[in-house]
Amino acid sequence: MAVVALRREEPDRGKSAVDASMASRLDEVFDNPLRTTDVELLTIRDLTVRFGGLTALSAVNIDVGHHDLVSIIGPNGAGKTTTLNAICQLIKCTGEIHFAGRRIDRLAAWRIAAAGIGRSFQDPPLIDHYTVLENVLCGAHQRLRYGMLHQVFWPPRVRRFEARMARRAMTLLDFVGLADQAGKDAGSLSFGARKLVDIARAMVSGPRLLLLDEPSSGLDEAERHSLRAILLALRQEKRVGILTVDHHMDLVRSTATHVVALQAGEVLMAGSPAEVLDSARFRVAIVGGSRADEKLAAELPNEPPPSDNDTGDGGREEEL
Amino acid sequence: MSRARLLVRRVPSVTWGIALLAVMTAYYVAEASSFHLFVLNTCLLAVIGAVALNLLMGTAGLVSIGNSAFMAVGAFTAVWAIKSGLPFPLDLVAAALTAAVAGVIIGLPALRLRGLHLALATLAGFFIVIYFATLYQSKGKGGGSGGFYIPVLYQQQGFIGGQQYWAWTLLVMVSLLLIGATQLAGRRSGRAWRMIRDHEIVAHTLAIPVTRYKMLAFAISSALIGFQGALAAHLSGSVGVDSFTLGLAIAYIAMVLIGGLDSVLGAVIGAFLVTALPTLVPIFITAVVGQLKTASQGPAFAEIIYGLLVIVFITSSPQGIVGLLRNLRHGATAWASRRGRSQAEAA
Amino acid sequence: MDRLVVSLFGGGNLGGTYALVALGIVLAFRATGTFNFAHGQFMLLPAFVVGAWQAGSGGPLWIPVVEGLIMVSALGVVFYLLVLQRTVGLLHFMGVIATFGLAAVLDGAFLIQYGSPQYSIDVPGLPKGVVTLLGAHLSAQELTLTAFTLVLAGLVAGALRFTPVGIKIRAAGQDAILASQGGINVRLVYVGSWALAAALAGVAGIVYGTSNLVNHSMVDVALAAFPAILIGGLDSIEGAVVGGLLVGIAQGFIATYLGPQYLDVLTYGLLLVVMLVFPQGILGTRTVTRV
Repeated sequence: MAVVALRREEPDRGKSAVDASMASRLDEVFDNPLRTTDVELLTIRDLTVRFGGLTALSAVNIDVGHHDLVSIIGPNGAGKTTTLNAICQLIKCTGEIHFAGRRIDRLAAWRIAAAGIGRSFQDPPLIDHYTVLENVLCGAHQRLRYGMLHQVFWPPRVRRFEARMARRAMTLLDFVGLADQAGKDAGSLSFGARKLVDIARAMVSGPRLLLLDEPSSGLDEAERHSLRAILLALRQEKRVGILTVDHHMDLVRSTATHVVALQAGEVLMAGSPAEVLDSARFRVAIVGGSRADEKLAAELPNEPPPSDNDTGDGGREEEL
Repeated sequence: MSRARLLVRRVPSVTWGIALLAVMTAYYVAEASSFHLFVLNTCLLAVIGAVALNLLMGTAGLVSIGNSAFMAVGAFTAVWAIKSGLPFPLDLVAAALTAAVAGVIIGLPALRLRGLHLALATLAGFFIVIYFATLYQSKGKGGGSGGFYIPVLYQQQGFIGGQQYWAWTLLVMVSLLLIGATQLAGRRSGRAWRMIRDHEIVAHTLAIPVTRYKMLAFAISSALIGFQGALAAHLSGSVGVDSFTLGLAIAYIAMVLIGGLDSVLGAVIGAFLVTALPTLVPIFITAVVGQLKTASQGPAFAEIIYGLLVIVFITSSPQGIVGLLRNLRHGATAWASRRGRSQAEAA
Repeated sequence: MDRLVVSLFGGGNLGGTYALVALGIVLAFRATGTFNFAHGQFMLLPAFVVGAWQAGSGGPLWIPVVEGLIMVSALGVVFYLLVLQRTVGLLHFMGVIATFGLAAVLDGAFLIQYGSPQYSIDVPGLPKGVVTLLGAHLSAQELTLTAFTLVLAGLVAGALRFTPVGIKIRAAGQDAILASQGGINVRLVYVGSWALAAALAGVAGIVYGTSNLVNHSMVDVALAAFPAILIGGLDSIEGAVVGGLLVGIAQGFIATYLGPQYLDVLTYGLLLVVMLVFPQGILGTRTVTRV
């Protein structure tokens, strides 16, 4: 299943991620960062998931530092999405998960989200008849400090909070480049735009950790470019920790601080992108095992990894 | 900030609905036909139940086919409250609260079941409630096979006068309900319920306490339906367990569907249509076909018609009448803009 | 002792009816994923046709039976083709609501066509008289019909399990894509499932009408088949038969020992308990979607 294309990407030199006004607006959104770096952001120990007789994950350990971008990679069925689902407690698992000093693996799923973990999905689950803006607002539930009684009896308070949240949502839509589509119905959007709306929705509550499930799948090249810029900006601005699942190796190379390779539910290896992606062990395990085409396997690059992590130049596009 | 304000949901069309209802009420009160007024009052009452069911099924996506059981709960609680000495408006409150509790109990399966299983659980709940209601009717003081009798509200105003008073009372109550329901169906709670309806698993990841919202949906809708049941008891003066049937529950589902799921205005339209059908149908048929054989055929034809409407709408326009109106408006706007453009080009 | 026998056989009689109805509902469910809440009306249609025929001109019984069964099968097929096929992409309960619409239409049509009659069906050639068993007096006619319904249900279930046609029907109900890739005309199977389901309901209605009055209350019998389906397992054909029999016998005992006023509440209480505690039933396979 190789898509090997020779392409040179132009390095984005000299372009800083965000300008000052956007930075201060992002401050409004990510208004609840962790003050101390004494505790780890996310620590996963011994995570095991079993479905019936099948072991989907086996004793997986992952760490995500405060402003890391950790990418989980591996072939289909390796357990990547399962890992994210386990963190969110959408499926049953054993093991320990600590988030910002708290143990979360026994909490109800919504409380985990309320603790500051945002999640996006492979197939963006939007409400088609809502506008883009309203879809993003769906993620603001916990930050809207009013209840049903207010909605019925005290509209001014509701209006105030809604306006505040709408500002935040517009900030994020600006950030992902969809501000001009804010009033469109979500059902009319392209798949790539829907993914960005999903990501904006995950961010609107100002989480400390973002879990992004295959954010780049289904995107065309321009959209992947935007996504990379977004991820790099988040990293550079030190807003959130990010844990992604991804197939696009060039994206992983250029955005991740750490890479965790999963295979058949176990951690194969972990380290910096260069360490993992260029290691012989990784190639043999993942690449050699799944490709029947020896010739193609022989064509894989042996060139040194790009030294400049932030600009994603060079190399080929590899897709597992 | 103004950019954001413009894009958040526009003013709901419920204001038009309330205005129309007010005009209708004023007209029929002035006309002073007791029959027309009675039909109007029954329609207004039905709006309460339809709006409640729309919130539960259309907005929150929780299918309930036992809703006439909550009417029974409300009606019988009102009876019990009156007999225990509670004065008029308070028995309505008691009815609503009891129905809410019953709704939460019946909704407990909703925590673990979805879709068809939930429908069956509400069906089971219906039969269980009816059992207890039958028990109360046969054992309670003043009961009997004919049911209970309570004083009709506004009876002192005379026959027509009573109906007129009822009409204004119901108009005020229904208008308040429509405003409140529209508020609840939007904003934070509306978004939460719709996420639960469309993508329940994902709702958890947006920090939405799904269980709480499901229970609230059942509690609120049951309370409203119980309130309606109690009001209906005061309108007709009699409460008998036989009048709370599955057929009645199906009629309310038809109202919500024909009007348009997840639309407060749709619930109003559907409620009026289905409730007035048994009265309109004989007129229509007599005009077109000739005299009906017996008086009972009016409701029978009405049943056929709203059953067919349900099927037709499901297969062609699942958004109901409201959906049709919306498409018409989009079509008209598109036509108008095309015409405007071509006129500009011609000029 | 005689009460035990009466409960057992009276319940068995009901159980046979439930088995046929439940079988039909499961067949329809496997085809389209909807519970048919108009199944009671499917029972009633042929029963009305037969009852009206016998109350009227009279004549050989097979004519109205065949006519009624053909009508109801055709109704099921038409409903599937025109309505249920279009509900595929919609919210999950739309198919169920469509069956409610059908139930309303049929109810209205029955009222207009037949009024509110109290027909009863008399099948000639059945043994009359009384059979005494362990001190209990049982109607020979009822026993024969009980045997008939149970045998029929067993035959249909057996045919579905063992004959080539039956295997195709089961495969299509299990996994439509695989089945169609295996050369099975899935649409035809679904149409046939609905026709068969409706016909089974019709037979159950006619049989029920021989020992009970044929009037609108018969539709409640079909509703009582839902606990049977859940006990047997939602998508299990054999489970429907077993569940139907169990529920019937349970109702027989409740009616005899506790009293008929407890029938509904205990039957549906049982439904709730089964759903919450034991949702896959005895023989079912599908998992309930839990949060």
